[in-house]
Amino acid sequence: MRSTFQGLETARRAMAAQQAALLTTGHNIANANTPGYTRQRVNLQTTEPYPGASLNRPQIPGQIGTGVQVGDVQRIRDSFTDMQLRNETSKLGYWEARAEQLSQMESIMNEPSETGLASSMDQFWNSLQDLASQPQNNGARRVVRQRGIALADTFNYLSSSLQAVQKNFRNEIKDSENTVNSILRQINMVNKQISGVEPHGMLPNDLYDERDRLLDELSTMVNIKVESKSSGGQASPNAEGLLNVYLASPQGDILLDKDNKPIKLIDSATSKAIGFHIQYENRQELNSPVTTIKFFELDAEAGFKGLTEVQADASNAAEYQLNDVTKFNTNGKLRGYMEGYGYKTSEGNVEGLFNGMLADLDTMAYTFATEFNKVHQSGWSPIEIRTETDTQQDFFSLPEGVKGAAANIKVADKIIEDVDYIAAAQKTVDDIAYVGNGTNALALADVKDAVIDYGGNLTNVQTFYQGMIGTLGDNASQANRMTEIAGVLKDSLDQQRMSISSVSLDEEMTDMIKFQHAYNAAARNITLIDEMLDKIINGMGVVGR
Amino acid sequence: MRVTQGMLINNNIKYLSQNYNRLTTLNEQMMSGKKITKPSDDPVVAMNGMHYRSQVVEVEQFKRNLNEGFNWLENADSSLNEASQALHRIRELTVQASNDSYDAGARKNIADEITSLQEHLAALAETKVGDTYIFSGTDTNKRPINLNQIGVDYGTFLSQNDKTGYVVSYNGQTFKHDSSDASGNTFVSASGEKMIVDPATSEITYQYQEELQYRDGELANVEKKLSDDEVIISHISAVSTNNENVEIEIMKGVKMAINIRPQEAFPVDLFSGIESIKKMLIDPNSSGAEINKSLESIDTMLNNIISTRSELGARTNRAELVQNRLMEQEVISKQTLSENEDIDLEKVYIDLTIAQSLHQASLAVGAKLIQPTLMDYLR
Repeated sequence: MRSTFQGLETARRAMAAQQAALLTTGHNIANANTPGYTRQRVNLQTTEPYPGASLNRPQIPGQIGTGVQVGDVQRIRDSFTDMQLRNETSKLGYWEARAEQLSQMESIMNEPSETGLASSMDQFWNSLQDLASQPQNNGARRVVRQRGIALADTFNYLSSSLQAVQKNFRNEIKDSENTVNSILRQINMVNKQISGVEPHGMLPNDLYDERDRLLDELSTMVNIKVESKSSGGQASPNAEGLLNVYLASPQGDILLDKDNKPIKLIDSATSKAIGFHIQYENRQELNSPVTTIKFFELDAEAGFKGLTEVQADASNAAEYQLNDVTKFNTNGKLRGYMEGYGYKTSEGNVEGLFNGMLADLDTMAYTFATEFNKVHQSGWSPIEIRTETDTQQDFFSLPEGVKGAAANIKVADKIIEDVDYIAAAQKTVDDIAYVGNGTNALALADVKDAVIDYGGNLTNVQTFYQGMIGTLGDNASQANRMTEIAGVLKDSLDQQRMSISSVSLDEEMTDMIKFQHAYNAAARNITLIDEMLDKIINGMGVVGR
Repeated sequence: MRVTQGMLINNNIKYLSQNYNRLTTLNEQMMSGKKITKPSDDPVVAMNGMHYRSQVVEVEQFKRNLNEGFNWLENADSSLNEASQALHRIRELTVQASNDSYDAGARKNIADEITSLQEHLAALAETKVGDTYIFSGTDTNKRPINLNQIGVDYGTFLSQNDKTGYVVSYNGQTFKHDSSDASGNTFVSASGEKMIVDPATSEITYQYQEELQYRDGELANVEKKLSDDEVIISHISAVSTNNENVEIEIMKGVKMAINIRPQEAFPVDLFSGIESIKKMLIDPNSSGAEINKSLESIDTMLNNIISTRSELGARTNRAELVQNRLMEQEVISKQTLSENEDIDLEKVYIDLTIAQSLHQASLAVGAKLIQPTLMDYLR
């Protein structure tokens, strides 16, 4: 037999459920602009109908519904899109970092222009040609000296600017390292909080959102692979569980360290967060290449557990370690910056965009100046002609070896002292050099076109430099293009995710009206039942009294 | 697909930023006049741009070199022109003097004028362009002429074992040291006449051929003893012996000499010869016939200058040809440079206009799209 007051209970439940739905709608509207927020939906479900199927159930035709209840409040989210999006975000992060560095490099090199190295080179050549046609002219000599100084200065300037920017990117790496570690710390914390909530059967939607937002952020720095583990207890079937986070390759494979252990950044079972420690050949030197990447357990507050940075450098007890930086095969800003800044391969080669450009500049300065000096030595300067001794004077003074040539190339002191040390003449058949002979000045000018060995390329200085700029341009335009493509892909995936997860105000308004109407109707239902009861209680059995 | 306000707004912002990007690029192109501002805009254009720039610089430099060349060539030509005028005057004066009616005083006057003309010739040989002697080979800071070496002391000359480099002038004709003669004391003229000095007796023997009028112009060998004050002994170093060319580069790898060698333009014969003509004129014993004969020597000197000038002319012609070539090349390389990296103004302008209208349209549509919500219609 059904209860007299059953309708009241049904309507009350309805009011409570619609109210919950309205509250969630309100929550959605309130968070319409919160980054990382996922719209929530109240899963309404009917309560057990009356009567239940049992042996002593009352004999009534059919079951009567008893109303509605809130099943749970669920996030509307698609984890597959998340994965794709994070992969694209890593790619975008990598190319953005690369594009940033290359674009700075481009502005330093400043080609093609009337002020770059190519133009200094041309002007130097001009001055030598002028000297060749007026070898006895002191003014022409001074111009050669000045243009020589300008050329050396340009080399010095390019080299020092590149190094300065390279050092800036060292800070950028440090920042990225800190960011990654801080994100890992936070993820670990959120994981812990979730593990406290889920076993009670609740869904900590806002914590999920926070965790997803952190994972998104982490994926701009490195590629990650996420693995979910149940938190146990009375967890709801919609619960997302705890996450293990692995370092991954762009293809989504988990990266292995030197001992072939998978690199696990977040371990939900032990609630450990393992952070990055990037080690340089020499930490004191701001442009020293990256040699090793170590991973240590992070302290909940700051730094590594029980280790200072210096101790971490010395430690051999890293959780994971990558001795070969090229094995750090992951996208994201961190690798982008590292590749730009410079690293040392296991073969001992120093690589990297800045190091490469600096090495090319060194090769160029060294090879050109050495050849130039050779020609200059063979020539005769007015002073040599006067004293009739061949002093084998150099025009440029260079450091020992190729490395650092661009940074330290100078016009030789003697030449700075007196332009009459510039050897414009050559000895003729009768073995006498004359002041008016400009043959050597022409030979010096021709060094620009001399095909010699520039770091293994048989070419002339201009072509070599054009090659450098061409490669830079190619790299930069590739980075820009890839940034654009990854950006477009990321945007479209973001759209897809928003399409599923973001709050639509129109939708919420509609929902609001929907739930409001249902709420009102439930209230009306109570009035109706009230009237029914009034009839029974006050109006029944008085027979028209 | 479910579309939300957030998506609309994001899209709107994305496209607006794309529009701004496009506008910035076009603006940059418009203002700089260049298709690219950095190598990554188009690496190939950037690389070619650097190459073409160098090419333009080179052509401009070669033009400048050539100007210096013209400077030399023209100065040399005008000097040689004046030199030939001076020689003409010397010839006229010599013709006058050949008139036997001129007395010693008149001849002395003529000789004085020739002296000043000779000095003029020396000054011409020392023509400077800027601070550079152009008739001094590559020894451009040294005077090419040293008149001390004209008319050196006979005794010193005679005592030299090696007389290479000495010349003997007699009546305008100059005899050069004959290195094929074993004695080393024979000097021979361009026409084959000989002058033999004997260090032992210090005698000078002049061997020449004379047309015998009475024998229908038959040639006869004649030997004549000369005294040492009838001849002029000079050393070749009176005029710079620097034989080098001053060269400039006029095109990639192509060099051109822009100077006339001192011994070609102003050979020692010239100064030594004129000196001997002076001597001949002052000598009261010189006959008209002898003076007449010296005219031939002056003509040889004149011819030498004329042929040098014609060589100069040929070189100037070549330089002019090269200059034309360079001017064409300059136009071509500048054009290539411009085609490589300069914008097509009309195209960029039209693109800019299109981009602007597109931007305005997207602003207008965006504003319309993001404003209304359901709330505007709910009571």
